[in-house]
Amino acid sequence: MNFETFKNAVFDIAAKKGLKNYELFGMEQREFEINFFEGAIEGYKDASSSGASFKTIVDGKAGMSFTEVWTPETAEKIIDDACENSQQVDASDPEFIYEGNGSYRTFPPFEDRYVKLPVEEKIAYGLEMEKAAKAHHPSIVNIPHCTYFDAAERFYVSNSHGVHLECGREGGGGYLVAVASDGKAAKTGLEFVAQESPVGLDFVTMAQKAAERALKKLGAKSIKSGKYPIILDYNMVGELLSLFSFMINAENVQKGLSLLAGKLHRAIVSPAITIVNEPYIEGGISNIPFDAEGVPTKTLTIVQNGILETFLHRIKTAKKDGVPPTGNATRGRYNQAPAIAPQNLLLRAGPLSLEELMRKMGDGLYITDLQGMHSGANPYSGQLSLAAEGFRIENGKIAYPVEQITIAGNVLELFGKVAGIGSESKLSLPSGNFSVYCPDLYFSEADIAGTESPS
Amino acid sequence: MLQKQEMEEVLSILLEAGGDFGELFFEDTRSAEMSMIDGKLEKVNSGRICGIGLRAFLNTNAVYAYTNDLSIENLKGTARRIGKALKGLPKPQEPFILNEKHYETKLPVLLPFEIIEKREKKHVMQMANEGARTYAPSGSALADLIGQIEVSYLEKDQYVRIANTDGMLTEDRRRRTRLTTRVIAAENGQKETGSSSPGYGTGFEFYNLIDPREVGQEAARIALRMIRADYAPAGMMPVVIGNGFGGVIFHEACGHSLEATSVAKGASVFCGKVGQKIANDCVNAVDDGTIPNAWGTSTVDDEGTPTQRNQLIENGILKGYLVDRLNARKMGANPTGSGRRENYTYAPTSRMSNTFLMPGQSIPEEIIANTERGLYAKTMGGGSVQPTTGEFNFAVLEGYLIEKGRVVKPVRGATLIGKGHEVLEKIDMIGNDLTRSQGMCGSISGSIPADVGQPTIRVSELLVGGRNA
Repeated sequence: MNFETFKNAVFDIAAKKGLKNYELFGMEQREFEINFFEGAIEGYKDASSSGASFKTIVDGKAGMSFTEVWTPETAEKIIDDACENSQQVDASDPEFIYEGNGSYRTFPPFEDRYVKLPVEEKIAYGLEMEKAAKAHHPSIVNIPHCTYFDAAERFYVSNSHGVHLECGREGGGGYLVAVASDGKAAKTGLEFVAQESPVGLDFVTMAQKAAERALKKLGAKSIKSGKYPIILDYNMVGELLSLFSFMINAENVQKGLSLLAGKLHRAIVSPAITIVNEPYIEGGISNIPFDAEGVPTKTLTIVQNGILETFLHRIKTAKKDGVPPTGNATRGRYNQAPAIAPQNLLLRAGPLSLEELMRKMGDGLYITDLQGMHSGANPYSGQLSLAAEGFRIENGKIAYPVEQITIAGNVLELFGKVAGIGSESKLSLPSGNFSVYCPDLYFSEADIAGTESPS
Repeated sequence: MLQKQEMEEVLSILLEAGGDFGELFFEDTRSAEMSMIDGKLEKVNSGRICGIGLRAFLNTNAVYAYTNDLSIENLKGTARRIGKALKGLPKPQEPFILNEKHYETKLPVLLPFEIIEKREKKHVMQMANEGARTYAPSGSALADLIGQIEVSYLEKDQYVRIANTDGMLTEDRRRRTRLTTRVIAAENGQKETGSSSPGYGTGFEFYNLIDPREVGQEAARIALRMIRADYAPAGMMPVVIGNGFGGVIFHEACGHSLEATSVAKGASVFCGKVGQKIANDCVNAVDDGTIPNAWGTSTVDDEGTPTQRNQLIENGILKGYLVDRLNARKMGANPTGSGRRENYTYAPTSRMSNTFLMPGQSIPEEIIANTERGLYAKTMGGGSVQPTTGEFNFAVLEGYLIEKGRVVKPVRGATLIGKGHEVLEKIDMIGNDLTRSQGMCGSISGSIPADVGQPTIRVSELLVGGRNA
């Protein structure tokens, strides 16, 4: 059964049962991945799946149920389960099904270009990148992860108010972890490339960058604990912004879970910071014209010169706040309830190159890796306490690599201390189901702990 | 569901197309999740995932596909497609026979989820909420600091049927449930969180074994302790790590680096170290997937191998690794019942199950009394590790400063970092109070339930990251 047939079966039964307010969210996806190790294919994944989630609203209370099995029996089962689930809910904020009066931005057509690439070509890309990383320097001793991947997703939102939407998106690329060793210690470097179209993907440069990242860390040592100015690599800025995306989520704000509750139209970070949500970024892999409830997505300025301008909403939270929905409902997969997230969170670039940021900072740290985000960064409190690696900067130049240090602080306080912004907003390491684009950032001060004893 | 003969046909195709080993993993999982905020049930979601993962090996190369179009035509087509990707020589196959084997379940259930009404499940959540809400006496200053209380309830009933071209056919049913409470305390525009989330490999009878109120109380206790705590000190110092979830230090600092996933590629600091001393003499560590009804237990692993008790470290000596079928080929080792995956959309790989440090002789109080100045990390948050370098980090949820052998004040925002192989040698005291706690462990084969555990231990020196340098 395809989505259309399953939807018709579901909608027929729902109407017969006298339901008035319901939605079927569907997703079909395929993923393809090849892993390479020592010049051979180590792993190969070629997969597809689909599923749907039914939501009904009775007296403002939503119940949901999902299934990957599309048959007339499961059509009836998810309706019954959703109705039963809705009866348990006692939340006071009503849920809504989109009534469909918005207009959608036109997106480039979905072409499924990656699926048309011959597998041999994909294998060649992978072997090429592994080779390039190894050949980069004799100290590159191992490539434990070298992967080519591509994926496509098709989304469907259909509801009892006549909304029937469908779109597809795709993306592909690769990632590589290189290990460099000087015989005493090993260091790893990770790099990735991901874009909507296979045209112009540069796996070799990516692989060389990964090798270079590992290589540069050799000979790293710890430093003394204290307060240091720091420059954070754009990838790490992106990781911190994922905490921020929790705080601008209107659902979290309304439930009192966000530090930003009550801060609308007030300064929350440095005036140098402007953050927007973009539903479409050229070449991006998270672009989408409608959200998981069918609402049109749109460009949204979230923070303008340090002032918090809006939260991200789905229909329920928008109605509660008396504002229009912002098109930020999301469902990572059909088995997840609707949540709120940006599509592409973009921190606007500034005027300075990385070298200029280092010169401006003079003495400090350039932090390229943070570890422990899922445990050491608390989205409720904004507290960070993370393992870090990077470089000691002296007289505006890289002096030596640094390891075994931690950075601690509060993410909002830290973003209040922005003293310089890099000149390019780049796609940072993908995590979650949205993309983040940021520049390198220079902060005037951060708490750093290291293993060197104070002199 | 797929018939035995159909499985045999699909598996044969994997061999015919060029593989030297084929595996079929069928999964039909029902789950439900409910979330409550401040005593009000906000979300109820339930459903079913159902699909098949096909895998084939040729020597040490592997291909994987999954699909939830379970028609025999599609499965045969998928098998043919991925079998070819191995680039082996196609060869005609004798039809082979699957011999079904049943094992006694290690996850027996008394009260299946489907016979319990949803309002009873909701009642359990309400009890946890009430435990958190009433932890501080109403009207007291502390009671005002309690902000939001989030309670979630999860139940999962996973049925798997696994067959391979060695003729193995077996099944397993894993039912697990977990109650999570997170309490947010707020004061002067700051927030701190406390949480507690016990889980078990049983049916609904779990909630007769524990008092859900205590789950709420524990979360409230931590949040209230931490909201008025000073920031943690920073620098190298002795660290006493509390029992139970404190075992995450072994899980991160050492366990991941003992998984064949890293070891087979030479990407672990513990490669080639079996039989060698890697830890202080007092360290004994075990991974045991057989503990009845434990959170990380299964009867067979996700490759159909019965789970077993694996001694990882004995008196400081490395005894072995955790090995799945594919890496067993690469390493010339035997699988250890450690092939695990989140669901059919992931190929399995070697993972931990219930992993813990064995108890020692010391009384926990004595460990603190013997520490001149340091950090007592009573309750840990999660962490992560890079197996290649052994560098790990993890967060302290509830910490205290130790001075002159006494716990003097709570401290917050601490993180512990180090290198696993170094820290194992620095474990110098081990308590007699082993307990286990539940976690979700994320790695390349997805997010899986795993127990961590330990008695109270002391690490003679560890870098504490905090704000008071």
